[in-house]
Amino acid sequence: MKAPHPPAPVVLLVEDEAGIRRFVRAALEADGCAVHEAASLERGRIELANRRPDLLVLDLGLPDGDGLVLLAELRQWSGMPVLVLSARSNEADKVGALDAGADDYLAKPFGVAELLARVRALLRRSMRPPQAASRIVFGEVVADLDQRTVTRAGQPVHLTPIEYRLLSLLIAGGGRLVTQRQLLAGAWGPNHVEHAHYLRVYMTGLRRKLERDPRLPTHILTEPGVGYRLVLETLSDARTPASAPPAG
Amino acid sequence: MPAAPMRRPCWLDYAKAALAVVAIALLGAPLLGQFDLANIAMLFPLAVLFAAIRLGRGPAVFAAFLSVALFDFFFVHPHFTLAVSDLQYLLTFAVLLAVALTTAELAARLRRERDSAEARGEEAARARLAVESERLRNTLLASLSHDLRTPLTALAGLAESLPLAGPPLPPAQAELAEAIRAEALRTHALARDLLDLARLQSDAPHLALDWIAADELIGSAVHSRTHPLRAHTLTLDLPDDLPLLHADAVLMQRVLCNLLDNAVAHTPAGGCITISARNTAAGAASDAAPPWLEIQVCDDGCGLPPGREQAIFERFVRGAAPRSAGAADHRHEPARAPTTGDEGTGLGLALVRAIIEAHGGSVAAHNRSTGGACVNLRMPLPPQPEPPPPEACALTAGRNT
Repeated sequence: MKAPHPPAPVVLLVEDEAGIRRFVRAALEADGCAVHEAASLERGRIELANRRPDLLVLDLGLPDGDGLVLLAELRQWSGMPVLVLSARSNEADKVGALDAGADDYLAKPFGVAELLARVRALLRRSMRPPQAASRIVFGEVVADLDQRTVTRAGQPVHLTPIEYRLLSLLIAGGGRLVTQRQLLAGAWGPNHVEHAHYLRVYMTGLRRKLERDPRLPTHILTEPGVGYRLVLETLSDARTPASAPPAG
Repeated sequence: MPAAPMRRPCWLDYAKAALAVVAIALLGAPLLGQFDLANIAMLFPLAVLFAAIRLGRGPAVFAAFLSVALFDFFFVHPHFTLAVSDLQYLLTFAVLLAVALTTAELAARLRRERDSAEARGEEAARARLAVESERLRNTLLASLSHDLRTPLTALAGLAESLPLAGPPLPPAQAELAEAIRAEALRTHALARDLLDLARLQSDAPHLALDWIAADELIGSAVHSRTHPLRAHTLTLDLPDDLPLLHADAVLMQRVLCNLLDNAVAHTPAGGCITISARNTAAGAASDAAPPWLEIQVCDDGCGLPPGREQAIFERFVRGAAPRSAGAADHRHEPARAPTTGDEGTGLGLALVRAIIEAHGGSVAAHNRSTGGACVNLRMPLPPQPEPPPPEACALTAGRNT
């Protein structure tokens, strides 16, 4: 408190279940966040306007409406990171939330470690100016967005225009899950959002060119039924035997 | 009057038809002499009509012929023989028979139509009921799933955040908190698996079908099991040109994760787990048997109880020869990963079977001659989709626009 710390990130938690609110709050506060709570959509709307938080943690199933409604409203005026909590096992709901502008989601039940990892990643991303890095490094791959070149272990990698577009979309996601629909629309255009098999073919190609073992990818990861994410730093890249982090 | 369903007329119906004709004959007898014979003959189609409406076509035709016979026998001179002295009565017989048969045919057709309309109505009602109960069942399962998941999430999370709430817990209490968390997650996994099984065993389980690549599926399942697999050697045997499956990606991921969990649970640390996949049509003539994708997960662990290999796909059956002492030690390994609740609800392999069968595939398990077990999945391969349009040429990324 005396030290000139940067101000604690402010998190708004919109969740109707008191038990979940309690432990999420405890975990976030222990991690240095200032947490405000709302138990309903209406309350959440008011808190969002008043507190202007750095991050919104949003439950989808609220007593007075669907969290997606609040998300859609928020996206009209703010790009603040949103982490969706979902008790729905239906993948379509997660895809819906991501397509509606959520940055990430956690399916219940989730652990404290998982929660904190997601929150930290989202806060880190939003604190950093978006166009900071033009050189992206993952594994042996260096992607130079200015030069539009990709090298692997120092050797140039030849990507087709669509492969490059897909990689750019994943990079722009900044580690976030990018839905199939977003990738298909971005690479082939809005008329091709149903052609999931295009993605299968191209992701296989991209992995063969960029992954050390394309069958066991560590960077271009599939989230079945939802989409893909590009993970820059992986456990296997920085494996330290003593501190094996808990599996997500 | 509820209609008799479309059943074959029995002898009793023929007896009733005969009785009706006899009754008409008895009714007509006193009129003999006062009425013209042709008018008495007009009574007989009544019996045929009755038989046709109530008893069906066969008894009605029988009644038609019987009518002619009785009319001839009792009413037409000479009485009590089938002989006919006046040939004009042959015309009466012919008309009587024609009227009776036509009546029989028309009435029977009406009856058939009524019966089938009723059957259609019943069928529609049954279908409506089935849709209703299916909807109710799904709503119930969904809300049950939600209502169980939410408090269990809170329970697990609260137990996990116990050390965050105050000064560090003494080890014994930390262990208790961890045990509470693990049990909450296990309960959650059990409820989830039971609900999923119930959902999959409904008449028309909802599958979010999409094109998925088997190697991608296997890769992501292995990735999600990185931690449990760390003590084992994993070998992948996947050809490069595996065709796409048309399946529910999330459920198929569950299948592979459950098979990996099962293999890990029954293979001592240091053991080998192999995942292989092949297209049964690869290399075969193009018009050979319909193609399947076979995925095999094998381990070199303790194997399955001989003779009961398929029993592992029943609910709540676990590998009968569980991991011995080494495995028990493993359980108490202090640095083990936090429980995800995914290990061993006893439903994992039952779910595997339910999911694969919902996709029109099949599962089987066998012991390897070299020790250990294999689970074999067969998934039907649909005709492959149109490939993406070719790109003009492979450019280097540097020349993109």
